[in-house]
Amino acid sequence: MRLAWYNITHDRMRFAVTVLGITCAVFLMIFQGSILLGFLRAASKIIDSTGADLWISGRGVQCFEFAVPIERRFADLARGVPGVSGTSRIVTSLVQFRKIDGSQQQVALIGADVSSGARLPIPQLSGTRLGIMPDALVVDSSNTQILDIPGRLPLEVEINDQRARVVGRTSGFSSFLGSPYVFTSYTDASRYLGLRPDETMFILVQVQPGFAIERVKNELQARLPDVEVSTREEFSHRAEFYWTSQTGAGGAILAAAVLGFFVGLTVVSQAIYSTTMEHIEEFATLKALGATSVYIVRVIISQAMLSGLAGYVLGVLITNPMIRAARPHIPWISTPWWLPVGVFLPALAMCVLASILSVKAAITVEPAKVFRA
Amino acid sequence: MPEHSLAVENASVWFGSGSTRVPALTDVSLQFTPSTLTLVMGPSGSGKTTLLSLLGCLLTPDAGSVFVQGADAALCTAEERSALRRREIGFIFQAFRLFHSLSAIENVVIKSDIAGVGRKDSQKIALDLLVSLGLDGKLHLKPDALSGGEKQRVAIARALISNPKILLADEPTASLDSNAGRQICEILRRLAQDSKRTVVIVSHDSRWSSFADRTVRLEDGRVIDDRRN
Repeated sequence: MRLAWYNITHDRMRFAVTVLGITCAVFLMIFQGSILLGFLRAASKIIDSTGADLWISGRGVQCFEFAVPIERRFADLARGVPGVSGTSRIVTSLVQFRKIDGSQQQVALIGADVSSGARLPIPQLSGTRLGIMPDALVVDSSNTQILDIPGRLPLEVEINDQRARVVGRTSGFSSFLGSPYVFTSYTDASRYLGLRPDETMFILVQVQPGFAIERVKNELQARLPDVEVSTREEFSHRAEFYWTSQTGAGGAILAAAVLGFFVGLTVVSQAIYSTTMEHIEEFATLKALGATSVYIVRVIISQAMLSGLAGYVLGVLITNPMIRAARPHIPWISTPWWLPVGVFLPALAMCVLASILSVKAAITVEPAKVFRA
Repeated sequence: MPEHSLAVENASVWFGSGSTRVPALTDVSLQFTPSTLTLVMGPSGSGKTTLLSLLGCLLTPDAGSVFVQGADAALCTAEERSALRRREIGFIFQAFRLFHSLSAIENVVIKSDIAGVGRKDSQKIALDLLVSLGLDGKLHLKPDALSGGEKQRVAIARALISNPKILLADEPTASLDSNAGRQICEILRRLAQDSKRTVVIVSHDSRWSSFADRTVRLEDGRVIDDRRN
């Protein structure tokens, strides 16, 4: 479609504006999509990092961060259910972290049994000297600045006015709540939080190989009606749904991505429509020369697609450095390879949608107009 | 209609509706034969352009018929009339109607592109046509870089690339100086005579009288004179 290409490149300034509009829309869609995906992953990160098949929580608990105490004896009862190979415990709560300069920072303390999962950065899991150190804490590298943790460890700090020691760093556990995650052993966490010995917050259940997880879940739920039993996937999805839908945070991020689409749609519609109207007599000439409506639609859609393609490529190119620049401020931002690929179709759909008005104007133009000088 | 390549029979066209309805053509019947250059003259508002629009299948009559190579255009669908225009009719306009973003040769090739003809073949034909019209040094210039006469010759090449049997020209010399106008008159005269084409020209330009085989005069949408020169 040479005519399409020549039409859009004939007025280079307008072409540049169109491409810029699409570039901004593509960038916004990928960037906001990355924030949304990162937010979703961060919302279920702790749950997904455990090796548990089932989670036992207080009734109505929607996410890991807002736990309520449950009776510890439920772990003993759970181990009596056929198919359960073992249990472990995990607790969490917001606590005060006193930095070396004496100032305080609110953190989300997570304490778990060693058997909760190898991917959880619990100090005892290392198997080295750290494993036997009391009051040991591990923090995420992205939070060392906010927690005022220098390069050399260990570092003496306080948790809820009790002695603690930062002994290691981890990565991939940056919190999306604004309160950094701090990991410790289950025993130390219970002490910092002041939990009674007969209390815990979550019981993690391992199912024996050969037993159906769903069946064991139903059996547990029948025997423990005072708590809620979920598979890890169910609890993970429930947490994602809670943070994205019920807090409005996900809605806001999604709205920004959708807004990007509509901003792009508006800019591209305007640009394509004005290009079409500028060439409307040429479309009348095409019709007079015998062009079918399909031919005219092809010219306009090709114009839109060419602009869309250029805008998409530029949008993807600028997204990568922008996300890198944003990562220190939004460590959990996540751009899987399929996100830019997935934005390709909405970007082209945006351009095609933007052409609708132009197509209507061009195919309804009166061909006899060509005789007017 | 075997002997006529183009004809209108009792054709009437009205514009507007209700109390503002005015006749543009009233009960016009004309036949046009190959190898003939017909000049349609008349004052402004006499219906010349409406007649040309009917003959070019750009308008359908409110009453009567239009025959293009035997096909009744009034009974055709819009897409069928588009096909008639692609195959049978070449247009030349007063305002040239070239595509500003395309070069001279691209402006000619586009008509073949519309008809779905292969690009390689049509470029060769376009090149030959433009060279035969004296534009060999201007093939890749855009319309803005061409003079009025050159633009009109590009438009003639575009009209001819599909080898139509009918050429319709609307004031083809109105935007040209006398020399360029005369050249266009000679080209169209040759196209009627040598290539057995039916050429219909609407013009106020009295220079055409000496080139036309036949002159039709319109007034108030009616044929008031039709004579062979």
